[in-house]
Amino acid sequence: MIKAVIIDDEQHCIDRLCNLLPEIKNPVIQLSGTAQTVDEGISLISKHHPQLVFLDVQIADKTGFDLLKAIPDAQFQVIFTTAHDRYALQAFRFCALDYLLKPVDADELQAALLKVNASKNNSVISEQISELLKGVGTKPRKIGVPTLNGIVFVPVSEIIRCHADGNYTELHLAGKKQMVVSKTLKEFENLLADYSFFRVHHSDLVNLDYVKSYNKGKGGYLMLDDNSSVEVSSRRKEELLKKLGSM
Amino acid sequence: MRILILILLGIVTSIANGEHNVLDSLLKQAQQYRVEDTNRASVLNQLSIELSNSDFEKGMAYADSSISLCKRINSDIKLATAYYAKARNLSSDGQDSLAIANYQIAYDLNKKIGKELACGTMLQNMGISFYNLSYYKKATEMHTKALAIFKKLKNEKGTSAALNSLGIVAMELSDYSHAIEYYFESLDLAKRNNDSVVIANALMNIGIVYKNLSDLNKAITYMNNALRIYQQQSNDLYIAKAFNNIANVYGEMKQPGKSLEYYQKALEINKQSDYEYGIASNYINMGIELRQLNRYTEAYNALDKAGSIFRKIDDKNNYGISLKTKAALLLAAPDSVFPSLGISVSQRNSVSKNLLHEAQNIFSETGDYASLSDVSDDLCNMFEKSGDYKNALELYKQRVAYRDCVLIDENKIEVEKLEMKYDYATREQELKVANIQKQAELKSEQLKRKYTLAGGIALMLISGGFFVSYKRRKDALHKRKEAELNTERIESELKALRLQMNPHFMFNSLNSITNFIDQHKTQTASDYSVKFAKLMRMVLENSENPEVPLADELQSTELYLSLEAIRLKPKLTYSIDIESSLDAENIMIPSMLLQPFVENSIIHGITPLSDGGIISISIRQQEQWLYITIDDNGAGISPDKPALTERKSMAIKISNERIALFNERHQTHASIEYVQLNPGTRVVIKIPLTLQF
Repeated sequence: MIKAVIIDDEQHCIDRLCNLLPEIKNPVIQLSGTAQTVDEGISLISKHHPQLVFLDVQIADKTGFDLLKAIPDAQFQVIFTTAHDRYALQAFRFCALDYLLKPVDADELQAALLKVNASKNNSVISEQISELLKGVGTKPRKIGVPTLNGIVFVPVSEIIRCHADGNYTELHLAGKKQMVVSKTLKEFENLLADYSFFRVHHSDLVNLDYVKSYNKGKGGYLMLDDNSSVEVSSRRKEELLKKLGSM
Repeated sequence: MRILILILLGIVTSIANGEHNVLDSLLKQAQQYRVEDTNRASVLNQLSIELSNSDFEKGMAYADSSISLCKRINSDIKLATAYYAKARNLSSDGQDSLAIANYQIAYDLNKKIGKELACGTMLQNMGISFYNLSYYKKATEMHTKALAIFKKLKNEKGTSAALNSLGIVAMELSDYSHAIEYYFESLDLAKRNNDSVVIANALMNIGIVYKNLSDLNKAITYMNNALRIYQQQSNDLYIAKAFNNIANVYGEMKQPGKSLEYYQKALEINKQSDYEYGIASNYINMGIELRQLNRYTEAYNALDKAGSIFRKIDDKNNYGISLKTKAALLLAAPDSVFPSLGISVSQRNSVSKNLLHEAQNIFSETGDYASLSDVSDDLCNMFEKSGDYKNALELYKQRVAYRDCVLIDENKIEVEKLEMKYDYATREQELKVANIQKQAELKSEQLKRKYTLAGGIALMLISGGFFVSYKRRKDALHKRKEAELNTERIESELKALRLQMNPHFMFNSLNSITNFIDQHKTQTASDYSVKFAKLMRMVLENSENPEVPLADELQSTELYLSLEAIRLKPKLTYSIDIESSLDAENIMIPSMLLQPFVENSIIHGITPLSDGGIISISIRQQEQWLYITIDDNGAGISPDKPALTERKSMAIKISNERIALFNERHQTHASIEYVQLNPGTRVVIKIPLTLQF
């Protein structure tokens, strides 16, 4: 059984979750209370010490982030809920934090709760939250990567390239390190869109900061600092050269 | 398989007449003989090749269906011919880059199955397409390779065609010594084989080279020899061309009387055979000669006749030239002439000005900057004379701008020419016919020729291909430029259209939700709204991008269908089927393309059915096209309902506009087609297959 609270400024959003939660059989959620402002939320959490907080992003004139900042040593997991906030979503994805889109879908709620049940490592949670708070409003330096052993934060600047392997992605990092992540290359491409990454090929996303040279050919190929070579698709060649030229 | 002998044989019209019966019988065969075998492929191929001279769009369609047939029946031999046919049609359409790609495929196939002669033919034709694109070096390379193959196989027809083409490229590059060498070689070969047609053509071409070398007496001799052969063969069109060319040389010799006499002869023949282009060309040349003789009225009338024919056959550039020449004549003519022209002297300037303005419009339409520059020059002089300095300055500026455009165009060609000249120089060939000094004189002569109409027309006539291809290239260039200019406008219009899709979508769904609530189906309303929110999110995201991966588009279509299935439960079932070889993540299509058609199928097809119906979407690739088919087994067309094409929702109208803009933007032929099924309706969206990576 998981003790949870809901913090959202809109009553109908609270109602929706309240209606859905009793339907969920695994894990069973015990709802300890709800709050409609950040301040109420803070006191609700300090009173009940919940394991899980459903947290809205925009709460009246404040944000869920303000609430998290006010509780530095958070010992609970967070599932954000939002209707449409592109920047917040990007930040959650970056820290591998869970979120639900409103109106909440019953199946998605179930999936998120199963994940809450599985991960109980509080130190990772506080790292996720602290990275999230660091990243809000700026370009985050590190990216949270879900691995078999939990979430690992990797500095974006250390990623040399990402290589697609079916539904998995191999990350090739500086210092000859490698990781396999159960995310698609497309997800990484979207996450890293604001950085100097470029998809040169169906199966390769390259950090252009690590490009040593470009060798001409039909599409040609890139030589990277780790001495690997990556083929460039002929359709991407022109745009790549433009990008490399502007760097 | 005919070898395309370019330029010398500007006999498209005469062929068309002669082969009308062939075409008819082929069409009949294609309609009657429907067994899917190599025989049908042969018929389709022949049809396509025949049509390449007259109706290249149809020709291309036949080639396409032959290509897919040959793939089905696994016939490499016929497939090679089908690609060749397609290339021929593409070349006729001025799409020479694509033509080359198709010739290349045909070449590779022929090489694979060991058909050497066909390989030679492909190379020869590739050379012609390269020539049309002004890639003279590549053209020479291809013709040289083709020549080697034809020589090896002792194929005389091919050999003389290749030599002929090499001569033409050399002539274009003002390398007359090599041109004449090639023509003589072709002549020798033809003499050995007693092939009088080729002999005559070679003689005529040699005559043209001598004319360009200003060796006019020799030019006349060779042309007369050619003429005699044409006369023996009673080949009227060629006789007319020969007369025209001889007349042209007499014009150069400053013998306008003699020149006129020959033009008259050419004209009579062309009139007999109803060859309008020839007639118009004769008239315009006669106009110029008559003016030399100060026979202004006759000259004006001849130009007038030329102009109206060119206008009738939609030869814009030459129509423009006739207008411009008329204006020049009016400006130079003495006052006494005017009454006989039916124009009062006081109108001299205004009439000329109108003529020049009209010419200006035509040339800017065809993108002929050289002529535009000339017309602006004429107008500028006119204004200057009449003391209107403000307008004169304006036109002077225009003239300079057009000149720059010409220079940019010509630059590329110049570079090619220099490159070629360098190549020639490194070959150790001695000049045999003309001496170097003459060559030097020629350069300036050639420049002059550019602006001498008479010369231009004569060359055009004998070498119809020259002119047509040049004009075509110009047109294509112009179109491309215009397309670039339009790109920004189109992008923003497309975006606006995409955004228009959103509210439409939203309100339709909200309407459904309201219905559920009215019917007290709260659970359904809840499920529906959650899905709707998802769909809305996806639509908003996708409509930001002009194009999205097919996978995303299918995902949102699926979601939409699942929503409609909830609403119409249990009336609607659906399936989405994508060819397994297609990578939906990598294929890009315009966003929000399918939804309006699916919606139309649901509203007009499925909803009226009492037992419900099925919507099947399937995605297939064929050649470089992606076919998206949306089938419903619904109501279809019936007398009491508006015709299929008329039941168009707002969204479908928007989609049609989007496709039109998409075509403009990408210079392609995406299309939407409606087919009546029994029962039901099929919509086929055809768009070019575009990959992201």
